[in-house]
Amino acid sequence: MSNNHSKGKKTVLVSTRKFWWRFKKNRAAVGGLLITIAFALMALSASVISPFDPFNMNFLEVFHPPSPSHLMGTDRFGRDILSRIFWGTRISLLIGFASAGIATLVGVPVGSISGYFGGRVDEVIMRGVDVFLVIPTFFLILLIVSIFGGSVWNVMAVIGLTSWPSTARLMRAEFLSFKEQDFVEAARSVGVGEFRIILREIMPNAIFAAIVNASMQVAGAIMTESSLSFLGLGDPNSISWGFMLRDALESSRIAPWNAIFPGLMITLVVVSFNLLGDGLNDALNPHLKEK
Amino acid sequence: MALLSVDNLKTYFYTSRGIVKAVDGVTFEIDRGKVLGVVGESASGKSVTAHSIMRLVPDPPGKIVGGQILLGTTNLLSVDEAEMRKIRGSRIAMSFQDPMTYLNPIVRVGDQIAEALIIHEGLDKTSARKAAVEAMQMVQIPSAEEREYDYPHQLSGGMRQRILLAIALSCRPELLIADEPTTALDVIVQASILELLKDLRNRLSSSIMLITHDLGIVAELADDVCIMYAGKVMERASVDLVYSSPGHPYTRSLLESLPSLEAEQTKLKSIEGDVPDAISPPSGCRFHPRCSYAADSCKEAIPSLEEVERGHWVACIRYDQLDAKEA
Amino acid sequence: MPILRVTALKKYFPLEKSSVFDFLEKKPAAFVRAVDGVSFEVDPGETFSLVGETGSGKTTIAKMVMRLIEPTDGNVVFEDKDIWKLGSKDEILGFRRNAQMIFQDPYACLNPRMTVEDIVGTPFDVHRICSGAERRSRISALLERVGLTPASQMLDRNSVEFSGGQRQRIGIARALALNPKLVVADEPVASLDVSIRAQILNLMGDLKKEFGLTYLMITHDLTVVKHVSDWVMVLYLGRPMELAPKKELFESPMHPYTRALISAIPRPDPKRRIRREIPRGEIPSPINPPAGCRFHTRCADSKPKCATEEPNFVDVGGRHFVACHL
Repeated sequence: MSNNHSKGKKTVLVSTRKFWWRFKKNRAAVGGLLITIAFALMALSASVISPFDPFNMNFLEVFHPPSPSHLMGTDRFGRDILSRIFWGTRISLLIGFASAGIATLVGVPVGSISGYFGGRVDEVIMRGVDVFLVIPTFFLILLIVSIFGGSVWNVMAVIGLTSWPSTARLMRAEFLSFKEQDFVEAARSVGVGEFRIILREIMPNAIFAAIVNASMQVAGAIMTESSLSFLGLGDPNSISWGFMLRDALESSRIAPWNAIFPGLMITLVVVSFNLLGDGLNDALNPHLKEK
Repeated sequence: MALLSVDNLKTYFYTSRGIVKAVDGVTFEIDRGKVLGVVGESASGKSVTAHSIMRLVPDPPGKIVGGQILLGTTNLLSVDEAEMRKIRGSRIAMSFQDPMTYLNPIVRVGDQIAEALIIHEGLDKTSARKAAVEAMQMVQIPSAEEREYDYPHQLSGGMRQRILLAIALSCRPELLIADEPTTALDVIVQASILELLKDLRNRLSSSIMLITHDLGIVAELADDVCIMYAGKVMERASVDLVYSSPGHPYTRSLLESLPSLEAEQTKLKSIEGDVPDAISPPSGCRFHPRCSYAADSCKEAIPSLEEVERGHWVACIRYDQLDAKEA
Repeated sequence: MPILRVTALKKYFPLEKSSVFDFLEKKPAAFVRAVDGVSFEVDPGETFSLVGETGSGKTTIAKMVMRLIEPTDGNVVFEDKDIWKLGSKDEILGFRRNAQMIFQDPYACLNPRMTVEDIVGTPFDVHRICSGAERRSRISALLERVGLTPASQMLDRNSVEFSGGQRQRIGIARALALNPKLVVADEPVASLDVSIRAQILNLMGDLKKEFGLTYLMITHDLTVVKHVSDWVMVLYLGRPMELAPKKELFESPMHPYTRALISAIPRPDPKRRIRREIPRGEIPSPINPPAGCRFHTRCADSKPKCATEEPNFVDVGGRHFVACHL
């Protein structure tokens, strides 16, 4: 009765400083962060750092293996693969971040309100969320893209709108657990209004979980986009690693570099976002108790 | 010869923030059939000491880096793990503070007690079950024959603590280590566990190492007391000596700061400051920043336990000058 | 005139029904009768203690007094106003300025993402009392007053960096920010180390004198009660068992439960031989409390009447109230 430390507290309360300190010690996570940043820079400066115009077809240089002039070789249209990789980063990251962004922008408020207010509000919202979760997302995406076409915006919107439920669930759980904490009750007893409690007291604590989740969602969105493009359902006018893989299908025997490099890039990006997310999660929830 | 002899025990935790010297040179003895109360606050090292004796210190990050622990003639720090497993539960047993986390939620309590008997005494299931019921009766669980089929969550906090004690005592260990047996319980349940422990002390031949922060429980139950602070022993003596003529300033201040039922005080004598940081403790005597008798010499040397009178050990270099000053 | 008057306060918590008919049936299956009819008065400048074990309802009463949990029945009157019938937001805020709370767990009652300045400053912000430099200086003054010096070094630090005792002081500083008249303290020292408890109790005593506070103290620790209280009410399973001035209660406890509580306390005196009377059995569930006197199932002196008729809470002289047939 007198010692509360043994009460199972699922959520650990962290301060920003300690959080980053713990994160920095996780080599894999830092690696993931650096690679992510590298990719972001790649995407931003694609037009500058690409040695060739990615659309430029040169039938004299078809299926050239990697060489000093074409570091990653050329594809079946003679296009420089390295340049296409750089430009492909834009699409991947754009869709990745935007989808995760939409999911977070929709999921966080919905989940927070549901978790904080509970009762009827919670029941209604969660039924809605359940409906979304029941739908097989990938097939929904296929359906929408087949009907409405595979423009970048469509893909982005669809992935975002099918992944917000998991964010909402997560935020709901965070709010459910945080709203019972003493410091929230203390805030109420001081006179803090509901709105301010949600935004100023609980949200800064709960948002960590959403950030971790968003990181994983970026990885997932990139995977989904690549898959869609590979199947031919993405935006045909854009340069996407998925499309590059599609092009590389037939020629994989004679020009394997066509498939290796895009595949490698996809893997690398997804791994780095996952490591980043994992690292954030570990920094948030320390597993070792030192006492 | 003492049953348990701990000599200069050192257990350190190697963490990313630094080395935590949780137990830093602890020495004490427990005689057969006696109760030793190990008293300390948080970060005093009392619980780690118990875990070290049982060799249950998580490694990493913890490590027993020095000292000796003799159970009879066996040095517990030099036996291998297989041998230690035979000792745990049969020669030394431990009960813990929070029964809910130490009991398996999906196993009936009778079976959990029987498990120890099957492993250590080689009993078959039926005899083990019978012995388990007897153990439950020994810890005064009413209707033990029906209770043995209960699951932990069906029992109250006090009952669960009794089950932990039953598990520990089922194989009649030579030493029972009771880690904060009353702390998480209601007042009246605490009293019943305290009375139970008194009863067990009288009936069984086991020695008891009672770990607690509650000076009241120690006074009622223990024969000898060992006061720990920041990983070191500050004072060690029989319970009568410690309470009637406490030697160490920490012990004195602790006793004076207790709100008691007897005295009529308007203001409690409190101890200044906070419990020290485990990673960078104060230099010299760990208690000196909070000690009203501290002098400059206290910052330099770490005081060792000196026998200031027969059976009374105090770790304070200014012990002789203490009585002169106003307490 | 009493500053706080609680009358026939009740709180029943509904138990969830775990069946498909959740939406259809409005009435839940059963209730946890946390508080089942408690009344008392607190005069200004007093320390009134509510004592009890698990299930006594003392924390629930504290939260109803603080306007955090709504009572099922009964009322809470603070300075002649029923706090649960307050109309406007301003009136409620006005009450909040006058009644503040100190919480039990110093590790959970402070927002881990906020600095000390923000935590102690929250009351100022919410009630729009001051800002900027004046706010900072008032916060510093509060921190110094509760013994956190030098305040300037504490303001920007995160609460996570402080020890239990220090955090409790931060919580006290926050409670004092609005200059309240009533402070409800829920087990303020139970989670602290023994050597720190005296510090905090002394601090609370000093602050009471300096600021003219009234304390409603919630605790299970009778030694703390003996030290700080003026009046003591003993609760069991949501019902009052005994109420008396502190001295009376400890010198001549009349209710068997009170006597059991007092005798249960371990005495730090190895020479004393204690004869304890420990009530048999355990605290029953508040979902289905025993009929008649709630304590009768465990009382050594219980008579047949105790099982059928609940005793009234009567004054046996000197404002000493007991609910017992004996």
